[in-house]
Amino acid sequence: MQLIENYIKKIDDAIASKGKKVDTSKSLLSPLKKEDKKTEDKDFLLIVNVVKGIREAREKMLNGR
Amino acid sequence: MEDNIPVESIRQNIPGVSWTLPPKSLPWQRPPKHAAVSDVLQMYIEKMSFPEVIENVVTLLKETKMPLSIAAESLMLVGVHKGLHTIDAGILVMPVLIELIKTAAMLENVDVPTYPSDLVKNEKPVEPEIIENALKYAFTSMQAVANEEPTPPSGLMSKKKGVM
Repeated sequence: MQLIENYIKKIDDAIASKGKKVDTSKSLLSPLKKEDKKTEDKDFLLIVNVVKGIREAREKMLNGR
Repeated sequence: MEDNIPVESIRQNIPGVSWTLPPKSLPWQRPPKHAAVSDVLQMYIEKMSFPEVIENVVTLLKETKMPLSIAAESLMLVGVHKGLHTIDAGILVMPVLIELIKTAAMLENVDVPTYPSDLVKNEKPVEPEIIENALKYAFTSMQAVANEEPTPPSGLMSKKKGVM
């Protein structure tokens, strides 16, 4: 569970810095091959954007009540 | 909605079952249905948009007060068990699952912690006076039991005093 907490903190940092400070230099789960690095970065950014989108939608829904 | 039967998630496999069954007969021995993280994400977002699924998850949180991350992890592990995705892809999409469950919980006014560590943080420490009183009570009741006189034997088979 600590892994997930750290991972979410990393996502929070990325959202706070508006994607400028995305540190994906260290592999999250296992050392991947160099050719997979791009895919990993892409996946991370995708997840950051989805999390950000869900949070914004939730705030809108809660404020609209 | 047969996929959402909770029994499916707690059914255990017998140790060594992979040696007795034909190869690749279990879902996790075959390649996963969704390999890309984006596909796994889409699958979970679609699943979590069903009102029945949301209702089940919210009821689970209401009744058990379990942390959101545990609920998300359980959902994700069911996906691994069914061979829908790998555990790596599952861990990568867990933040999205947590956010989706959090949204459903917040809309239903269910207040649950996000991580198990939050449970420990929110727990109030027991006041020392209560501990002291409990210890006093325990010792006095123990002394009372020790000071009790043994009841004399009674009944047909009991030994009587002075009789050999």
